[in-house]
Amino acid sequence: MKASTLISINDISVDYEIASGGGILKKAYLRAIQDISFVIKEGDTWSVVGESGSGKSTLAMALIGLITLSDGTINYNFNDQKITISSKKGKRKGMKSLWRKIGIVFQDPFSALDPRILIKDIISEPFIGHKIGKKTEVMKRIEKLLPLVGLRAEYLEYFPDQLSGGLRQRVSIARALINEPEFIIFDEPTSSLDVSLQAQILNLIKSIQRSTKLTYLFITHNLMVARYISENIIVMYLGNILEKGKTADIFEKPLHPYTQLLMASIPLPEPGYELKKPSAERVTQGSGITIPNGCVFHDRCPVATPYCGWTPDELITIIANELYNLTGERGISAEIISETSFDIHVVNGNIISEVKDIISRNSKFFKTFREGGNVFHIELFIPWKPRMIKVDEYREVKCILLDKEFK
Amino acid sequence: MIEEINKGSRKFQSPRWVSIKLTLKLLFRTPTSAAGFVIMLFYIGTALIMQFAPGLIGISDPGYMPPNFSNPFPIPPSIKYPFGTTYPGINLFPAVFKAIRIDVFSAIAIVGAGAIIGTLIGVVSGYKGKSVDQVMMRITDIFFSLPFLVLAMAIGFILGRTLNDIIIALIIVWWPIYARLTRGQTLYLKNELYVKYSMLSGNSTIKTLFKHIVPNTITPVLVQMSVDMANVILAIAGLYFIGFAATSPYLPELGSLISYGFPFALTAPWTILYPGLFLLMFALGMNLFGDGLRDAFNPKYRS
Amino acid sequence: MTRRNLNDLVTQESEADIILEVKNLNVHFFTRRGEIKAIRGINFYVKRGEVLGIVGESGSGKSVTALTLVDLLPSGIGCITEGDILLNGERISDTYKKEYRIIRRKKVKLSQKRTSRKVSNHVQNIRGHISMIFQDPLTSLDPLYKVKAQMIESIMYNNRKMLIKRILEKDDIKKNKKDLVELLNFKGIQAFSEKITNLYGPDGFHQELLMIENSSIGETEKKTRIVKALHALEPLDKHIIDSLNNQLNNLRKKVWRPNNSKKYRFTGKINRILLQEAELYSIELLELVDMPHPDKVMESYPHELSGGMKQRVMIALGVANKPDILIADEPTTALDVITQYQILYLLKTLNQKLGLTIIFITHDLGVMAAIADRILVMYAGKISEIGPTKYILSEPLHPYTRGLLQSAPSISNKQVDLYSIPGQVPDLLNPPNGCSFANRCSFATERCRNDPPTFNIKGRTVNCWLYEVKENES
Repeated sequence: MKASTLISINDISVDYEIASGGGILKKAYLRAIQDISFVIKEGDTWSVVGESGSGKSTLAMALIGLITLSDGTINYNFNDQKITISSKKGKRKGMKSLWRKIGIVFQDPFSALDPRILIKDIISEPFIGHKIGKKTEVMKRIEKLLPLVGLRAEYLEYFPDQLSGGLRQRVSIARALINEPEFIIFDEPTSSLDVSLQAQILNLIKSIQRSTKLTYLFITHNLMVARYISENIIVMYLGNILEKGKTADIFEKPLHPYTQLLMASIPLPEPGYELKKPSAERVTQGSGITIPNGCVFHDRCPVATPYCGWTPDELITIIANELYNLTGERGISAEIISETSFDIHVVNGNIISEVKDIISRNSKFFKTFREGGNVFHIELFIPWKPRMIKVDEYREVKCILLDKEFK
Repeated sequence: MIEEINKGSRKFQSPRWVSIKLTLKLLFRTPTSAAGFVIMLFYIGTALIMQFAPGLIGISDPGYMPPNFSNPFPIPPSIKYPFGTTYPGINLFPAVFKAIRIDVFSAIAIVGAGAIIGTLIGVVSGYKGKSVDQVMMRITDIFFSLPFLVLAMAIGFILGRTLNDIIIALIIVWWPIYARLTRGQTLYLKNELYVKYSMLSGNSTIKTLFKHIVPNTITPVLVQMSVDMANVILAIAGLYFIGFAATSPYLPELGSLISYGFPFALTAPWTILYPGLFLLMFALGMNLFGDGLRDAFNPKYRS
Repeated sequence: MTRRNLNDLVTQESEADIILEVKNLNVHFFTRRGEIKAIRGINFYVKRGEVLGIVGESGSGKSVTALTLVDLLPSGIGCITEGDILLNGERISDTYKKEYRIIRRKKVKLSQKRTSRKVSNHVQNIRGHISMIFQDPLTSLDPLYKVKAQMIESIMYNNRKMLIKRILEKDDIKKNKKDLVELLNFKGIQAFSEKITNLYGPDGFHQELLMIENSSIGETEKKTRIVKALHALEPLDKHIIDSLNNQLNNLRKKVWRPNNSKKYRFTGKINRILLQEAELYSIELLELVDMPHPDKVMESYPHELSGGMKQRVMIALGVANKPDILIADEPTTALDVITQYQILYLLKTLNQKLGLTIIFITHDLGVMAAIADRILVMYAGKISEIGPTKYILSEPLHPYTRGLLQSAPSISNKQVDLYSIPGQVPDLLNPPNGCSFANRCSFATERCRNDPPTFNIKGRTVNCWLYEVKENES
C-alpha cells in the first residue's frame, strides 16, 4: 500500500523585514528561505540538517503556520481535512484548525514551559484550548501518555523549575502528543542536552514512532543525529535546499560539495582520527544579509566554477586577500564596471608581476582577463541559476556541476 | 492512579507555598528589608484595625477628630495627651491613627487601581505592537511629561476637592509607570516559547495574555507598587497640606494634621512632629520593603 | 605490579616534563541550598607540550576544574577546600580551609578576606602562565569597543615588559642596520634570522619578518623587502630610550600590580609608542591565528565578525602572553561543524608549532579524538579514567566511558538503538558514598560501596574496582 502524501510543500519562500538601510520608507527584506519544495508522506521521518542561519528553524515555523509565507503554498492532507496555506495573509481561524493537527517541540526546554503553571496543566493546555473534549477526558489521555514519554505520575503536580532539562523536554513531547497529531515537528530538541540525555530522548522518539507510526520532521545541526533518527534528509544552507534524499544514500555517497564538506568535518570518536588541513579555506565574514546571485555556497565551495555565481565584490576581496598575504601590501584599487566585469588598477608598480600571478592563479573563477599597463580587466560569466536536479526517485541535488543541461 | 500520588507518604508541600516561604526568608536577609517589612505590616495592620475593629484600641470614632474649642491651642505631650494636641484642640494620638487608616487605604486604592489599569494597557500595547503600541505609548508619554502634582491639581479643579476626587486624580496620574513597566516585560515575554505554545494550543489572545503573560509580569509590578505607595502617600499629604484638598475634622489625614499644626511649628513642634514622623516612617518603610521585595525576587538569591 | 598511587606514577615521568599538577583537589560551592561538592578529590598532571582533553557531562565538574585553575570561581561561593595546584612544581593555589558562609544559622567567617584592591595570590601566580578561552564567543568580546582596543588593552595590561623589550630591540636593530644589511646580502636570509634570534631572542624583530619569510616570493625580492622594512624604522630619541629602560628595570624588580600605577605611569609620548607596538604585535597575533585581513578585523566591532572569527580573536588573546598553558572551555560548542573543524585544526597547529600546552574541555568525544593526546574522563566531581586518546577510544576501561562512547550517534555506532545510560547524575549536595557511578553501572558489586582507589594499568589510570583483580594478576 503506497503511503499517501501528508504534506506537500511547493516552492515556498519566507522573507523577513529588516531595519532598512536605504531611507525610512524603503523596506529591506532578508530572504530566510528560498524556493523550498518537498513532499512528506504518511509515516515518513524527515531530518533537516544545516548550520545556524541556514533557515531550518524558519522552515519549521512556516510549516506550522507561525510565519506567513511570502511565496508558494503548503498543502496539508489530513485525515478529515485538507488545509492550504499560502502567501496571502492567512486567516487566524484557518491556522487554528492546522494547529490542532500538528505538534511541535522546540529547542529550549527552559522557556518552553510557563514557570507559573503546573505540569499537568501545561500538558493539557492544547487539549482544552482547542476544545477537543472535556477536562475529565484529558486526564485519561495524560495517563496513557506518561509511560510513553517516560514521565512519572508525581511530576504532574510539579512546577517546571523543579524539573531538569531532560524531563522538561519529555513534558514538551507529551504536550505535543496530547492531541494525537498527525504530524510533529522537532526543532533541535536535544541541542541543549547532554549526550546521554540526548540518547534517551532520541530513543524515546524512535520508540514512539515505531508504536504509533508517527510522521515527523526533525531539525538538527548534527548529521549523525539525523542519520540515526530519520529515513530522509534535507541539507540546507543559507535558506536553500542543497541536497535531499534517503539518509542511507546520502551517507553512502554525498553528491553536493557542501554535504561532502559536512561529512568530512565531523570528528569521529575513533582512535587514529587525524585532522587534515581544512579545505574550506575561506573563513566566513560576518552576516549573510545579501543572498548570493548564483549558488549560495559558491564562495566557500572547494570545487566552484566560473559559473557558480561570482560577483565582482567577492573576487576583488579574494584577490586583495591573496595580495596582502603574499606581499603585505594593498597596492591595488578596483573599479566595478558592470555586474560581470571589473578592473583592477595596480597602484604600486613593483608588484605588478605578483598581481598578474594571483590573477592567473584565480582565473578558474572568471571568464577572461586582459592586461593593459597597470590595469587588469576581468570578465565574468553570467551566473547560472542552480535548480534542483533529480538524480533518482528520491534524490535531488542543487548544484550546477551536476546539471546535465549546464554542460 | 494520579489522585493517589497526591497523598503520598513523602510530605508534599505545594510549590507555591514553598516559594512564599522562600520570599519571606529572603525578606529578612538584611536588617533594612526586615525593618521595611515590619513597618509595612504595622501600617497595614493599623489601618485594618481602625477600619474594622477600632474598639480594640479604645477608639470609638475612626472618622472624626473631635476638636476642643474650649482649649484650642496646642498642649504639649503629657500622660493625658500622649502626643499632645494640635490647633483646634485635637488630640493627636488617636488622630494620627485615624489618619493612618484613611491615608493607607487611599494609597492602596490609588496604587492598586493604577497598577491594574497600567498593566492592562501595557500588556495589550506590548503584545499587539505596531500601531496600537505606538498610540498607547505616545499617550503614556504625554502623561509622563506633566509633573504629577500639577496634573493632579488640574484634574482636581475639574472634578472637585473631596477625597474621592483626589483619589481619582491621582490614579490618573499614576497608571503610566505601570504601563511602561509591563510593556517592557511583555515585549520580552512575547518571545518566550511558552507564549508561542499558548497560541498554538488554541488559546485566544485574551486568554494567552491573562494566563501566561500577566502572571509573569507581577513581580516587578509588586516592587513598583510598594515604592509607589510611599510616593502616593506623600502626594496625598502634600495636596492636603497645601490646602488644595478640603481639610476638615471629619477627614483625619496626616497632611491636614500637619497643616493645622504648621502655624504653631516653632512654639509647639510636637504638632508637626508626630504626624510628620508617621508619614516619614510610612514612606521609608515602603521604600525599604520595595527594595527588599526586589532583592527577594532576584533569581540569583533564590537558588 | 604492586598498587601504587598516582604520585608514584608521576615521579616516573621526568620532573621537567610535568607542567601542571593537581593533587587531591576538592572544590565546594556554598549556596543557599547547602554545600555542593563540585569536585571531590581529583589528581592529575599535564605534560609540557601535550593536549589534555577533559571530557564529562554537565555536572561532572569539568568547567569547575577549569575555573579553579585560573581562580575564577564565584567569589564567596566557591572555594578550594583541600588540595593543591602546582605549576612547574610551585604551588599556585590558595586554599581557603576555613571559608564557610552563613548557612542555616551557622556563622563562620571567611578566612582570607580579599579587599577590593588587592588581587589574589593565585591570580598573581598564574598571570602570564595560564590563559583561558571560553565557550561563547558572542559574549567574550565587549560589543562596545573595537577589536583593536580590546586586544591592545589586554597586551598593554599584561605584557608591558615584552613590549618595551621589543621596542628597545628594534631600536637596537636600527642602530646596527648597516651590519645586518650586509649580513643579509652576503649570507642570506637564513643567517640573518639566526643572528637576530641569537641577539634578541625569538621575540624580536624576527617575528615581523615571519610573514615575508613564509610567503612564496623569490629570494631577492624577500631580501629587498627586509632591507626596505629595516630602513623604514625610525630611531627613537635618547630620553625615551632612557625612560623605557628605566621602566623595564622597575618592572623587572616587581610584579606588576594594578593600582600601584603611580610608580608606572607613563608620559603621553611613551604611551603612544607602546600602543603602536602593541598594535603591531596584535596584528602579528591575528596572522598567527590565520585571520584574513587582520587590519580590517582590528578596525571592526565584534558584531561584524562571524563566530569563528571571534573565537580566533579569543585564541589570539589567549596566546598573546605566551602562556605555558592554554585552557579552552568548550570553545567550539557554539560553532557549526565546518568552523569547528577549522578552529580545531588551528589549535592543533599552535600546539605543534609553538609547543603550547592545551587543556581542552568538551563533552564531545569526537572532538577529543581529533585534538587530544590524552583524555581525562570526569563524572560527578571525580575522575573516572585517564589515558592516551587511542586507548580510551578503542578500549575504554571505565564503564562510564564505555557508556558514553555507546550513546553518541556516529558512524561507528552501528546499533539499532543508542545505548542510554540508565539513571541520573547524582546530586552533588549529598553525593553518595562509594563509587558515584554505582547506581547506574551494570557491573556494580558489593565492593562498589567503597570509593574505588586509582589503579594503574599500562600507563593509564582507572577508578574502578573492576581492575583490582587485573592489577594483582599482572
